Amino acid sequence: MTCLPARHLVLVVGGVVLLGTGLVLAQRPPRADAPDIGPPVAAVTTPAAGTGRIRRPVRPVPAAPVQVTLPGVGGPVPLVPVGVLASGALELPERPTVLGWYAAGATPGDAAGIAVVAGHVDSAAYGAGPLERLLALSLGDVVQVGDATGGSHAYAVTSRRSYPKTAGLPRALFRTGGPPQLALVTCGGAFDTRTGNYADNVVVLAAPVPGRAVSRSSTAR
Amino acid sequence: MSRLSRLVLLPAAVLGAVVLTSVPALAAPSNQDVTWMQAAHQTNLAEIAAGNAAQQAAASAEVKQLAAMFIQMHSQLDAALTQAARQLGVQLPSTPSAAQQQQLAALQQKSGQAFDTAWIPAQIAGHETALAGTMAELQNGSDASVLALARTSLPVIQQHLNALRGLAEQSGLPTSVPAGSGGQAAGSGLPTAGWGIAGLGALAVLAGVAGMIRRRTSAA
Repeated sequence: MTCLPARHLVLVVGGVVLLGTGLVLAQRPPRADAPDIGPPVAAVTTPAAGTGRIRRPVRPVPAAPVQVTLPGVGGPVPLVPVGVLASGALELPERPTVLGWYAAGATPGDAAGIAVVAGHVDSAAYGAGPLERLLALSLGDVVQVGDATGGSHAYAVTSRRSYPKTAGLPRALFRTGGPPQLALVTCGGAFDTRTGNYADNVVVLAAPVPGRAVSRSSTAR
Repeated sequence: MSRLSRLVLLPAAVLGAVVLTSVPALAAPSNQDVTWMQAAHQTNLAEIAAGNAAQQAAASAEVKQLAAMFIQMHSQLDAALTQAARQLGVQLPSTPSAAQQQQLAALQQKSGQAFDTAWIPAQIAGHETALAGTMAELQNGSDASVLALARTSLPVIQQHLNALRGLAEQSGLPTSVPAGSGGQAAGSGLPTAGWGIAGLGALAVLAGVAGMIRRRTSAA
């Protein structure tokens, strides 16, 4: 044989190093990290909207939302009203391609409160969904919410924060008073392949874009 | 008690609207009037159907009670609306909208606690849309009899919405949002690369060891 012993030794030593490095890398949990931008969800000291203001006899109210358009996502993503399960978890549509609107909270287009829209970032059964885009949105990106009567409500991204699930979400996220905002909620952070859970909730907040809300409820349905 | 007094007052208000609508219309109702009448009729049909579904499948007595009230009140509103439409010559659709039918079908697949959890937000959404449409009619409608119907409907819809929000409050605020189970968004790049590198290393070790053994046996 023409092989030198040194060559075999190099193979063995190099192989052991590669094997070790590979195993270490393979054991690292996969992560869906989204860097924090802008301020976190803030509680509001004033109890509710409209107090102290003159109320017009008939104030236009937005219809229920039916779709969301996110930058970088092909078409509008459908939205359904959702509630809270006995466990306290927000019940979300199974498919990441359908989002849930927390109907007991504020409505997109409302003059006050945070309208909360949430959805699966991905699913073991159906794969990744459009909310993957939340992890890469930038400040000022515009999100459009369409309602059941053809109205459209535009919001510009003001912040993104990750909240460890162990600590829970801030209660202020579900406030119905205070300045109007849209919250888009999904999962992120480290993914535990054994339990099939992400470590964090990712919350993107957006504020209404002045002059971009279109109410079509008087002409369309 | 206000729920009870409204129950008593509603038939009177509906009767008033019917009396108004029995006056022959001087002009044809506007597009806005027709649009609202058709949407309100479809909403009534959808609310009655959802109410009936709740009688069959709901778990809580409160949901069943609210559903019974919806059936009664939306039936009354719809009787007046249908009569006005006949007098004004407005064609009304015979079924709820496609979206309403889809929502009903989804509800009808559930029962018990799961039904209640889905029924309340679905009804909030339906009533919010009805409220928005009715306010738009009050602002932009023109026919007096249709406006009278809208005025009668508004407090009923608002009352239903308040009752629904009260029920939703009992579930409390969400304490968690489980929103991912696949791991695709986390990407499998690092672990996959890791296993690839480890595999390559294992092959190298095997080749090295095999070579050494072969060398030793051939030397011996």
